[in-house]
Amino acid sequence: MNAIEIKGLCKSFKDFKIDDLSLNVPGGCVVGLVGENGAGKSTTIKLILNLLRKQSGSIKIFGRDNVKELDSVKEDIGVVFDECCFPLELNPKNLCSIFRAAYKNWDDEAYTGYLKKFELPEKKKIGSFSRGMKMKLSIAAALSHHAKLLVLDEATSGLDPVVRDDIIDILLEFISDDEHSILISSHIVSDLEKICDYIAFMHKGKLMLYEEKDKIYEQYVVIHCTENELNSIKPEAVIGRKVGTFGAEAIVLKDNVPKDIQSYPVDIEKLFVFMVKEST
Amino acid sequence: MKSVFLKTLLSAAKFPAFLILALFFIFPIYICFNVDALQNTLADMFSIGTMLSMIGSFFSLSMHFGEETTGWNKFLLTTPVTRKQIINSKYLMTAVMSVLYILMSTLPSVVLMIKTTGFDFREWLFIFSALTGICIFMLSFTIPISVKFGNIAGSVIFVIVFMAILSGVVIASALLGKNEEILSAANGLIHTDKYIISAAILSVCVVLTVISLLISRAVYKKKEF
Repeated sequence: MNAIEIKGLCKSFKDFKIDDLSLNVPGGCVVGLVGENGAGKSTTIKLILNLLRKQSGSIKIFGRDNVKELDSVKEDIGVVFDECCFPLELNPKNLCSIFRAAYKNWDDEAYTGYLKKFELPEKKKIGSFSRGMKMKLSIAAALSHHAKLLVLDEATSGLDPVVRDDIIDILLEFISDDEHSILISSHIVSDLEKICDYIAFMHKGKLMLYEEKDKIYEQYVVIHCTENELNSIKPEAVIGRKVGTFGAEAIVLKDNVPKDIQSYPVDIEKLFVFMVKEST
Repeated sequence: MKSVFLKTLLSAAKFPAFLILALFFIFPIYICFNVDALQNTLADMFSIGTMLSMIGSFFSLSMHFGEETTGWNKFLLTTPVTRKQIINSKYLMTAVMSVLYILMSTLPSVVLMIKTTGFDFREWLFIFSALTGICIFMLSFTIPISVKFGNIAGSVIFVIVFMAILSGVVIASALLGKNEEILSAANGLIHTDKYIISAAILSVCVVLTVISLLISRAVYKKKEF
């Protein structure tokens, strides 16, 4: 069963629109939503959570409509936004009381355990926390009610590599349970590469690619060649190219690379950058 | 709903204690102790009560509808708390807090009554319901605007409506105060049973609150974050 199922999602704003987006988050999988700033990642997440109202299309969470039946599945969703949304005048202990009242499955022990693990003081004002501490607190709250689906919107952006690595470890631990799924958006592709099973590229409100990460590695390669050699490859097999004075670099479908041109494994970030540049 | 109440109470507990003390106790009690020295009439006490309860309502409005900056409401909507529950609980808390302020604001009038003519429950109820009427009118007008456009817009409207009412009363009393017919009509109203007037005002308050609540719920249901 898909944790999230999006079909033909549309939402228009004055100068931007999400256009006919279809995307699944399969149960037990991690889907990484990649895109440059303003690509529509946060908008998609807000539409999933019904914080923005869709104009057409359907969104189902655990098989239930995200507008009419969202309240019945909220217990199973943990959400982390890019900014800490907690009242800055409160402390983590206060939050525990509030969430205990909000969630039926709230687990005090798990929450306290996460606070200790993340070295977060229970009685210090959230307002005095660093960005990394606030993010860890948000993740602790999202994980302490035994959610089956985590939705993270740019949760690792603006954090130092050590904290980002800590967060990735936590997510890997969460996903070790087969019932758990994650939808994580980021423009830091290297983070997503570490944990995602599927990668979804968004650009200007459109889904450019949605593929299993391993298949991306299998299907695409990077080549370095001359401009003439590049032109000899079928244009539809070239995903993106960069031609300079010293030759050309391109990402192409593996099966279409001539034997005399050496190919290298693709990395997701390069694929994303080339795809975006090719489309503009 | 409990989580919304808890958040408000915990946030209130973090407010500077002097501010809450000043709003709730220091001003009304100070006036109570100075009733003799000020040689005020019940009408003056009512004016002071109006000012105090207005400040209280404004404070209450800011406290319950001023959370957009941290995105707490947005986050709350990702928890099992519903939009309807958020609005219901905010209305309930604003109402309870405002009524408490209004009760405190009637204290100077009670003290003055005890010191002069003796405590008259009918008179007190009239003062209480009149103050409640003014505050509920202000709040029921302002809250849907706060819900739709944010707390700053709501606060500005609150102040504008208050100033408009105040100016209206001043202008009307200056223009119509010498008109015999109006004066005798007002006199007749004053001599109507105050229980009836109080009941009428409180009934209007209930109707206004329900209408305002329904509008706010409809606005919040469509609100995007």
